[in-house]
Amino acid sequence: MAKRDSQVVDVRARAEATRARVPQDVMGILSGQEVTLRQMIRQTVGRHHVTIQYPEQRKPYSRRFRGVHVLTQRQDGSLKCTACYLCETVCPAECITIEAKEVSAPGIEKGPARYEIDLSRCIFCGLCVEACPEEALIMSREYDLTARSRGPESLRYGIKELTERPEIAAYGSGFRPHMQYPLVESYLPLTARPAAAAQPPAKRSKRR
Amino acid sequence: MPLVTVDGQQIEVEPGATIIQAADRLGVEIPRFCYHPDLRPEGNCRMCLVQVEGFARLVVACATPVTDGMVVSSPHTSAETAEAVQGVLEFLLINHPLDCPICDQAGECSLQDFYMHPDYGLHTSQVDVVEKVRKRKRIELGPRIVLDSERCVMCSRCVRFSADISGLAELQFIHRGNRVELIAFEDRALEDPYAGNLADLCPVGALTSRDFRFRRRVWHLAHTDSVCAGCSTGCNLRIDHAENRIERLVPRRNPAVNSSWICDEGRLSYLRANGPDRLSQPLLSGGEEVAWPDGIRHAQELLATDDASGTRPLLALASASATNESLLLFKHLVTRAFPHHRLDFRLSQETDLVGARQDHLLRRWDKHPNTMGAFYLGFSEQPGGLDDYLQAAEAGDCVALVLLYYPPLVGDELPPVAAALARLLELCPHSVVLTTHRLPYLKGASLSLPVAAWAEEEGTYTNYQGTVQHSAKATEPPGAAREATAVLADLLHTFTNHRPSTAPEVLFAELEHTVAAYRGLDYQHLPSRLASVYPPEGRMHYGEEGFSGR
Amino acid sequence: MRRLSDRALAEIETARREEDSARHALLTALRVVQEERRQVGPDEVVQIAALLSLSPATVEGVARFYDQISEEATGRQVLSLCRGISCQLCGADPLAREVLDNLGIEDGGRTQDGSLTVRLVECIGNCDQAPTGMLDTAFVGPLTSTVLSELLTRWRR
Repeated sequence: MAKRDSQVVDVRARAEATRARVPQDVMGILSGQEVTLRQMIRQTVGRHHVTIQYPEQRKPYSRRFRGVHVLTQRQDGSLKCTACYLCETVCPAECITIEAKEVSAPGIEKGPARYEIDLSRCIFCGLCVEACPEEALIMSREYDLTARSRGPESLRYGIKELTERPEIAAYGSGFRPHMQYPLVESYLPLTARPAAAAQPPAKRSKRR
Repeated sequence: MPLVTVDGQQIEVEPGATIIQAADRLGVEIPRFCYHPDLRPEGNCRMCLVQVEGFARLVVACATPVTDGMVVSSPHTSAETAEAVQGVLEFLLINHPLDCPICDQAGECSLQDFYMHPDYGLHTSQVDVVEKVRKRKRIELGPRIVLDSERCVMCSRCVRFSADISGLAELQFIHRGNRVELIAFEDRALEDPYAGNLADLCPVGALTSRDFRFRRRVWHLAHTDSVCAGCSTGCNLRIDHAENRIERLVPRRNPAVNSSWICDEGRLSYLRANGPDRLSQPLLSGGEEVAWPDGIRHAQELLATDDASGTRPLLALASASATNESLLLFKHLVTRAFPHHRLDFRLSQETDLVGARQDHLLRRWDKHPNTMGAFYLGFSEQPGGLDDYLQAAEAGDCVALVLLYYPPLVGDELPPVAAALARLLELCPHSVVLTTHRLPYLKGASLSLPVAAWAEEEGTYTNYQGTVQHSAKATEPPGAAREATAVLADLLHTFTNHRPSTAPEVLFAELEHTVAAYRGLDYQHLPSRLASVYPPEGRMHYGEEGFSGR
Repeated sequence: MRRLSDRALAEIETARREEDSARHALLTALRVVQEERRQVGPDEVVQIAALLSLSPATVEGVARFYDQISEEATGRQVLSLCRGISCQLCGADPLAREVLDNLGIEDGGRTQDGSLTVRLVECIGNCDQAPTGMLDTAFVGPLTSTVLSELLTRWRR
């Protein structure tokens, strides 16, 4: 292949032009520093803070925030989940694993022997919550999630981790599109529920 | 031959055929609950209503014989029919419980499928149910079946099956109107050895399988068509599996072999294959596990007989539970590598068991799936069999023995056979056993090589009718176990320096060529391949691989 | 298990021989046993099934279809109160309620001493005497509070 003809570029003119702009560039730097200075004064003297001092200060999130999941419970403490597998089926990240078992309560018959969400795989889309026919799975407004390992104490949350979270009261419930029981805090474990919980309205049959 | 048009498509049928049969052959999907091709038609569910030109009223397709020139419109093309069928569905759904999340039938439920159909489903209920009729739920009717009478749509398939097919009439309806309930007298356990078919028959979740209860959602199952290896009938079935575990077996409809049924023993035959005591590594007699190359080398050492006189030939025994392909390679190994040999498949005189293990329906006394196959391949040309081998061994004439053995999938090995095998292995100083399980009566083997069980290898079985049927591979064998054909090919290579192909089509081509009875058979189109599951629920298919790739 | 009487057994056997099939003899058998025992419960079902070579489930299926064949023992007498449209228009419902409350039983129930069963039935075709009913096989009507209390007084004696 023939070499391309090299072109001779005269950079002397360019260098001259750059040098001529020095005062302009210095002014540019100074004007940027003016912004910094202005903000500094504003924030110290004027007490106008842009940065939120997390974790002492936290940003409030919407009532529909999709945070960490919660498995809800009935009044008697049993999980509402009937292991129908709809959440596992719809999950785009395939991070929910369920095993079903027989449950003695008549009319309910089925429950989860194992219910695990791998939160390190979860994309927090909320499709699982939308799919659930029993409002057994909702999402809370909890978002800070840490783990020390990939083994035990990892982000693979089982039934225990998804139900026994008394601190959830501080975060509040998030994404729960079906809102069947707005007044009953079924996402709280029994020990953390307010004393006089209002009764849920009776189930209504389908109307036209 | 009458000619009928259904939804614009024409077909000629035999006299006496009904509209629904014509429609099924054309591929026109007419919804139905009570119709089943292997049960007497009843016409009680009213879902298969169709419009016939010239008839004043809608008729049921399942009980109306076709007349020449008949023009039929299904709910897909007739608005009047669609409205009627939608009405029937609405009546059924009024008192049907909202059990889908806890019901095993979800995903293969006729009610779900029909309700979701755009032509006659998706109605909004006009009835505000204040007092829904409640019935008894979760009634265990013996070890196979759970009854939920609230879900029942009263199609009576189970009643007809129990009365006509099993001859026991253990199920019946009581009361009238919307109080009708399906019962077994005093909730007695069903004595029917074909009770498992009731769960397949039931279009909804009223009768479900206890064995499969809550195990897995059906859309997570992958499906593989195969045949049962529990006895010499070879009922056509479908293996439903996920994550390399067989979860259940359901029958496929093959009128020539098994109608739409399978016996309970055959239905549960996969449990032995899934079982815990599988042999997964080549094993020496001391209990030491070795790698495959060492295993093959040990086999070569053990079986090399220097017997020029022929007084102590190699004794070779292949159980009639091996596939035709495995038997073919086994025969090649024995006949080509060992000029002096005895070859057989007979383990015992089992004909005296006819009465005990056979019935009027599907079960046969011979619990080997491929006896005819072994026979056709010439495995019993000389007098012999296990008893004769044992006699020879007692006389000190057994030097080397090679055994291809599969324990029965239905029941246990007969005690005299197990005892004879144990004794034979005890007496014979050099024995190589190719088997699937760690069996106590095979402990005397000098070397055990692990092979794949039924459903872990592809092959064919020849049933008692002489019909060759295709058995498919659904799961991987455990550990280092390999397909018997692969192991035999290795051994053939060791002994004859020639490794034959193990491709199933190639082996079958050789079978078709060698065995007169198989002449003309097409491997891809064996009759058992054409059978499919009826009732055809689960129209909302997720593909042959199941819904999730997991 | 209480065996059916010889008389009943004989009647059923005769029916079985005379009818074309066991199922045809079944209705006769059910009637005979209901008359004698005032019930066809599990015990009776099993015996009838054995006599006619039918499965118990088959016998129970036919027995439970008819209201006149009862699973629980009925009283020595049966008071059937009609709830057809003519009777309802003539005030059958409050009358029935009154009777049941007086006796302290529900529809289909039996008095404690086992002597009377009261059940609400569909139209018995005696509409010109509405509100009407039957005491065993005899029509009674038109019923009023007075007539009913008279009936019950007589019955109590």
